[in-house]
Amino acid sequence: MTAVNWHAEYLTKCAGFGDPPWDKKFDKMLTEWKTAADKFGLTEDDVKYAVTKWLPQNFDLSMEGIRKLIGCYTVEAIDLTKAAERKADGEKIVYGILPAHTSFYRAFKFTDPKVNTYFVDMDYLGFMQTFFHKIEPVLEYAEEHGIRLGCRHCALNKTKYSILSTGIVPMPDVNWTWGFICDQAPKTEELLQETWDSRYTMVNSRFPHHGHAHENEYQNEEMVKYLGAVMRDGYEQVCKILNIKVDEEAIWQALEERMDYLRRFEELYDFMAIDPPTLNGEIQLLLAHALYSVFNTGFEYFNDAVETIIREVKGRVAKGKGIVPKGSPKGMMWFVPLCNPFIMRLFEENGCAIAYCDSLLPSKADLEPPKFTDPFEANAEAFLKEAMITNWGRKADLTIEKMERYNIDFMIWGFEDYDRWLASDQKMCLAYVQKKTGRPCFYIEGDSWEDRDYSEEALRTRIETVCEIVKARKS
Amino acid sequence: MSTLEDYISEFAKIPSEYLSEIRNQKAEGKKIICYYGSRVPVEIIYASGGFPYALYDGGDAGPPEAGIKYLLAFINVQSRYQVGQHDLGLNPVTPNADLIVVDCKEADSERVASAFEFMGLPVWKLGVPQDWGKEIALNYYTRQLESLKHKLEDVTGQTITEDRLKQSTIKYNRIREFLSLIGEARKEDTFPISAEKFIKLNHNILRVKPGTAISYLEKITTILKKERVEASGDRTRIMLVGRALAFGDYALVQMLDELGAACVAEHFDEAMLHKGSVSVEGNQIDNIAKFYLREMLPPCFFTPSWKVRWNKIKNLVDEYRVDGLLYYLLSFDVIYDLENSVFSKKASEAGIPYLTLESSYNFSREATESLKNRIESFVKICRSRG
Repeated sequence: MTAVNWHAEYLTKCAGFGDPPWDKKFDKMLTEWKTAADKFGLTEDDVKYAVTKWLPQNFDLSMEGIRKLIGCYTVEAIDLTKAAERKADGEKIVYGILPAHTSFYRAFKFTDPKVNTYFVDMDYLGFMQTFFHKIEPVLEYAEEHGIRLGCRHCALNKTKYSILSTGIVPMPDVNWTWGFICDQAPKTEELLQETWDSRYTMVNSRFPHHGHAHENEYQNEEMVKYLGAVMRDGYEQVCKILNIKVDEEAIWQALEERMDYLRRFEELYDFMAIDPPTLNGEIQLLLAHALYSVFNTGFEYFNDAVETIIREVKGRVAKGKGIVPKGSPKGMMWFVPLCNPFIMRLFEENGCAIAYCDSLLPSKADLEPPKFTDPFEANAEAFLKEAMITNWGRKADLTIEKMERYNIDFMIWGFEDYDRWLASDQKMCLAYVQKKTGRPCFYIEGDSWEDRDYSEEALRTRIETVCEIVKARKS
Repeated sequence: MSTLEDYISEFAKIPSEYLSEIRNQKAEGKKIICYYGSRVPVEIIYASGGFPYALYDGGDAGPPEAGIKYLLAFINVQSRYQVGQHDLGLNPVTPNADLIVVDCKEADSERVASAFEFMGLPVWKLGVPQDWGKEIALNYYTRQLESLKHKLEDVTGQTITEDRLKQSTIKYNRIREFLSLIGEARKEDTFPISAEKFIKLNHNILRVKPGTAISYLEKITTILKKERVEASGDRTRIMLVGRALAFGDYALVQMLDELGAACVAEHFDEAMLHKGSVSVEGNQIDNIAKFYLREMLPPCFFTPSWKVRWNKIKNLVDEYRVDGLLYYLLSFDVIYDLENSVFSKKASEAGIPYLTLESSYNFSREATESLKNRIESFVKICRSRG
């Protein structure tokens, strides 16, 4: 009996490489994937577990588009494991970290294709936990080296600390970090410099978040101009380190690319609003993430995945097929716990759909072209429009806007216990939205990136209860 | 003839008199301006004719629990305290505040401001750029202070002239100067002021009129030169570091005093006026901006800050002949938690005994006993090395 090649099974059955047009590149991909999996610390058993249990349990692998979407993250993971080699060949490496406005990283690449751009923490954690349910070793390493377990630090920062200091990813030429209300990310960079390697080069671009409740910060000229100046300052510093020119055309090109990708979703999101919903918020987030995290492999794979998913969604709508029966309650989550896909499944098993991830769902303002004409200020304006960046009052206003547009029955906040930046104001948003809409709103303690403290079993009862309440309200 | 003890005890009563005065004057139309965070220049508030009132209470486990209703459970205990204290009706001033100015230099303090906004309080969020070394950051902070000045003028109806601002600055400079003199007395082998009294003195001057503070501090410094009692003796010389000892959070310093340690130096980012002097030459808002953003030791959140902060602390360790460093960490205070890791490593490399004490403002007898044991062991280690 021939032993099953689980790596090949993963690529063909789960990651879309048995599907056209990527089937033609399969042999080369298999070799590269095995090297990447080994570098990331994935054993044959880990891959087998993902192929036989984790992925089929949590993702609808019958959809070609979803397989291709997993493929987008797989090619990026493979690409990242080539970074050290590229660096040795004289290419440049820039890292970034959430939250950041990703157009600038794309602009580096447009200026010089030999600049490689990664958000290594997301690339590693988002890939390993979401698709293989394996992140503990990396987190534990960080916890033993100064980012203590007891303080509930963000798993992304722990991941970055670990994968750099253990050599899973190479030292970059520069790390451009944005501390936009998130203090943890830039200070983790400083921790790396102080306790790991003093040669670790970082550029910090920070901005104090002081918008008043319900203020449209993107219309506040003083704020936009200052943030534009901060962005310019950071961009110029990074260009200097990389020895590339400051190319404003490249920045416009990147902003246009971003807007194009953003607009693709409008059609998909409207289809997703039809009863019954055809996709869950996990898939929406995985697609939208290309805008919030930098992919060195660009948008090529994502564009193909989006096209395929839109085609399949249209087919599902025509057949009246959805992730839950017609008439089931449809919810939205402020931030879908990306790396714990079982949470979406638990809702669906209980007859409720989480159809959208609010924070990454474009608002009307997001889709409007920028009013500022300087490229840095235009990017600042776009950044300040984002739900993740704005003040608590406008966050709540945007939630209400999206609940109306997509006919949402209930709303969930939480799953971000570690996040002082994104989650500290969620209970206030909840109270405001509930009062304004009269629809049921819930807060669930949990974690988006890992499940050591909030496992499937620990969350099951809470989610069952929420679903019962929602179903009772809907009926 | 009054002793140092008499003056300190007398001065300790003034904040409650100030509170009564605030209430009475409020009825007559005077404005109450609360502020939260070390980058809100009290000089500008005082120059507006309003009553400045520093928010930074802590040291009690009840209010942080109440704060969870509004905020993340894992936001630092001090931020939750502020929100919970108001929610429980335990803050005597915030319900009557005409303005609450909060420095938004970090996520947690910004969320305190947001929660106050949510509760319907009149909040002014002051943007404090964390890239403190950059010229654009200084310019932005200066413009933020200009906006604050205009806001205060609107609230109080009083024009903040350049002269009023300079006079206010001179007063607070004088306070800083006196506090430095008193603090520096602890360089000697013997000094007559305990850790608890020194911290309370620092707190109390933030809740009295600056003129009153100056008159007491003047008396205290004069008598300090005369009184040299055997207060420290052969006590272990400890330096405290951290975000803050809040008003009311005195259990730690009481334990240190009780267990035979002398707190000879400290650096806390919040709830204390920092050393130094604001220039009064040229434009006063510019001077204040420069002092608060560039000349004060950068707080933990600024980037980069740990190198300069450690160098400062190491200098103080040498200057004050410190035997051991004690890092006072508030629970779930993520950035200070990272700093603690950095400082712990640096202290170990420098051969300085180092202890981290984490506090959730729970000072029940059970919690205190365990803290005492740890401090006692630390003091012994410091002694054995000395």
